[in-house]
Amino acid sequence: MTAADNSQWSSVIEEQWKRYSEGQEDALEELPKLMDFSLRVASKTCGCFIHRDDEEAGIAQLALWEAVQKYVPHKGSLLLYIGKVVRNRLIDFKRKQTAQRRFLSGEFYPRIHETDLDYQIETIIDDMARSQEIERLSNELQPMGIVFKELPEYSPRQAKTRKEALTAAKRIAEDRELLEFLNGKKMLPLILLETRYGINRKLLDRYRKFIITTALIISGDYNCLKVYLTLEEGRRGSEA
Amino acid sequence: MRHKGTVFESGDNWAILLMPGGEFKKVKTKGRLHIGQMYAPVVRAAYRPVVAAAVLIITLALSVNFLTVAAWARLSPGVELGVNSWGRVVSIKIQGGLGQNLTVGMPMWGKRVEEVLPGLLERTMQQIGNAQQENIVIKVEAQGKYWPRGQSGLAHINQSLHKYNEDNSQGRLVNQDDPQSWLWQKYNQPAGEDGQEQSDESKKTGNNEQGTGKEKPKTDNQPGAENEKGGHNTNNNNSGVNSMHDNDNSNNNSTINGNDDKNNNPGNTDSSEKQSPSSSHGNNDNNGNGSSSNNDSNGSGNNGNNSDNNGNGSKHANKSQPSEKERQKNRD
Repeated sequence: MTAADNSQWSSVIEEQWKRYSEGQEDALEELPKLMDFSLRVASKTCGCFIHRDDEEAGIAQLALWEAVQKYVPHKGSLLLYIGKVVRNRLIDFKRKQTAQRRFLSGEFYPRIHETDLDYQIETIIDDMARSQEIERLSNELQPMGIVFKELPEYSPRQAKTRKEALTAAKRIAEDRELLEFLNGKKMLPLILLETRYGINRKLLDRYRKFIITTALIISGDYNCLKVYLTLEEGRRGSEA
Repeated sequence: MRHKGTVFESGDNWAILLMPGGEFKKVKTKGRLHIGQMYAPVVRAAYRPVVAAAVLIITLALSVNFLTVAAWARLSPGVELGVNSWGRVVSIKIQGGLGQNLTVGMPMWGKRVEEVLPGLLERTMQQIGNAQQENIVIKVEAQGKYWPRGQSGLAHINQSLHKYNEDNSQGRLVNQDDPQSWLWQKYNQPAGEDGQEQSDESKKTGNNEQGTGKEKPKTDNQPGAENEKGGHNTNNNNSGVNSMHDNDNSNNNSTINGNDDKNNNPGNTDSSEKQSPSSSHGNNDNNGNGSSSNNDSNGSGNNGNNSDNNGNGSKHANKSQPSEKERQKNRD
């Protein structure tokens, strides 16, 4: 998610909040996303992964509601305000939970400075955007029988081989016929790739799952994930 | 620089990342990660396997080096000790019943040859010497195997034999024509009545001889110091004491002193060993002319006493003289 996407999401949420504050109680369509956001803030504050069942998650949800209720638009961004409230409530909760000295001195988890919080919130928003894309990709790959757990096994380790496999994926993404074949039949157009582009059949067979996944990323609306595949292209381009 | 990847899937201690360049990687993590989170996996240092391999190779090399026999020490009773270049006994071969008797209850493997070999020789003397009332012959052979490792092991063995010679009062190891072959010989017993007396005395004062031999520098130095300090009386006393000591040494340690000298100079030892047992006076001469400067400082009078004592074969007469002189001096 780019900076523009971030600001867009932020403005969408603020618009929804306006409608909610005017009396439309079902206006907060982005609430699940806000829940994820508050959980991420809780994780960052506690320095560990927070499950939805954890006590900290409940505190974060309550803090989210509190922030939505108490938010005043002229004080700044809604997301930033939510982040601050969630963080402060969690710190209060931790202090109450235990009277140990190391908690009071803030030894257990580092204090987040105000300036850092902005950066943290931006990072969290980026992470959330990527997680949404990953979730979409996972749904798209499911009919083809591909799960992420398998990908490290079928991912080429040699840089040269990986480059060849990514080239094949790029060919599929650029060629409409090949892409339709892939989306329609949920399988690689082996013969077409072999005859039209002269790609090695062995490579296609061996790294089939990797090629399909990367082809879907390149051809689909996965802006955050594409960076990881186009970055190499850019490097290669600069080398050439 | 550590590359960050995006978390695609994560468990308690693992995560699947999409790394820059399109590589999917499964990595170990300290905790659970959020999906979509950026994470830089800890790259294992490349030198770790190299260091592990180097340590393994060094350990293997050292163990092989330790277990490789560099030199042998063969004792004629049937014990063969293999010594490595560090002077440790790493191989023990026993032949015959005597060899087995010698090594029973004696842990030798891995111990320093300087500790093992003298002990083994002592045991050999105890077991063989009592049975045969004659000179015990134990042949010790040290044989180098590899160069320079063999020489290192050989040096350890030779060192242990020299140490044995220094510590032992009953006999010594003589280097034969072959420099790696040592022959154990009891100290020569002179023939005749005088010789028998001497040998008896030497047997009685066997340990003391060694003691006087070691304490010799002290007795020599003490009077010297008194001479520097003292007047006339003390000089006389000192001369008496000196003469007594010298007489004792000359009577009792005639052969032993000579032997001690010869131990230090093996070349001389061979020649004196080949002489007849009646060469005790010759040893006296060697003693007087050789190492001890006290005999020279004492002058001819003392030497005269020595010769008289040798003729009389009695110590008491010699000891009474200085006491009379002392009395006279005291009266004066």
